[in-house]
Amino acid sequence: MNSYQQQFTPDDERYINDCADIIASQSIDLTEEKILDLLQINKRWPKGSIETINHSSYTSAEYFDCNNCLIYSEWKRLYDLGFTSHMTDTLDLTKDLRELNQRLYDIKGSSTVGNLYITKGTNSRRVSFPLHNHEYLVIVKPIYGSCVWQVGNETEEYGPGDLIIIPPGMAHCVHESTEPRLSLTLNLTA
Amino acid sequence: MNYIEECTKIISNHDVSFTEYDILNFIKMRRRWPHGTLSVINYTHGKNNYVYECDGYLNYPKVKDLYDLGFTVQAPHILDLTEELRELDDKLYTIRGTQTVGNFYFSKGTNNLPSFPPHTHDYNVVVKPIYGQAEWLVGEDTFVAGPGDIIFIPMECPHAVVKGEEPRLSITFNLDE
Repeated sequence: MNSYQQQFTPDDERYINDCADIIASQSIDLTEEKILDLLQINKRWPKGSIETINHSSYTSAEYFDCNNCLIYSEWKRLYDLGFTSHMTDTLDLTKDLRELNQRLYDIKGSSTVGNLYITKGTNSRRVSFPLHNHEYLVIVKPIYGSCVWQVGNETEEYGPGDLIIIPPGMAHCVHESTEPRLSLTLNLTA
Repeated sequence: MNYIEECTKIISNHDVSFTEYDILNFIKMRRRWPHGTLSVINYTHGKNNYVYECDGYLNYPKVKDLYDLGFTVQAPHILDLTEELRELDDKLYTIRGTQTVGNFYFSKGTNNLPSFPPHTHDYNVVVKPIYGQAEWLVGEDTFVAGPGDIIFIPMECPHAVVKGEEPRLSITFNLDE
């Protein structure tokens, strides 16, 4: 866990630590196979719920049919080419994720936005968004696969068992990602 | 073999395993169920469904509450949910040249309103019971059907489930001609 203490009030710190404890202790059983299966439930994935990070540094999402449902085979082609995809609001997907949302709800008083980032990690394409920041606190929980993160001035490899805490306004990105990887980012306003 | 017979044979021969636990688990995936996708059959004939939250997605506890009271739930367009269902849709696609509308009906089977009252459609329907038995009315005939059976409802033929006293899941396939 990286250091973040300086910027927060003791109250914020307690809240962040409580959230981090819950996120760290929640087991999330998700494999590449399971995620690919979930993505084939194509009515769960209307436009906007999944995007692929591309070289315009934004995202592309040209793989929906006229009913606004994901065309899995077209998305999968980009995935197989090594692009990273980003799924928004995923805490309803499995029992573990729903449990995590419920546990966070009990201390936050509201539902949490949890996003999944998935890649085959061939590193042949942009690995993720370039260095950027958010006005809210983000905690990242790697589910499978390790990769090199930059958070502020620190560069470090993180994988399952780690948590990455990104304070509001702190620049961050993934630098290197050479293996299949799934991580969950939780947006937590402090 | 004509088109309907061919489709019916595919539906009949394709294994679909689903338990009550599985179906309830899928209903908890709330963003799979935006407003209007799932309804509970009630005495307004399913017209009043206050089972969605203000963000437009399903409120599972409300559905579960009505389900536990014995009301039947209708979930349309479900052939994307599992690999077995997607495979079945793919097989039908090769004959029909289009995707098939498949709907779930599931119930705890404790209510006196087992489904919609007798009604008709302008397309043929093939029903495949997955678990549980129910008594059907199709045209003038009344019979009990359960897993292993196939119910064929020709277009414009009045039909209804008239009694359903055990937990039940069936899939209806709409086959236009």
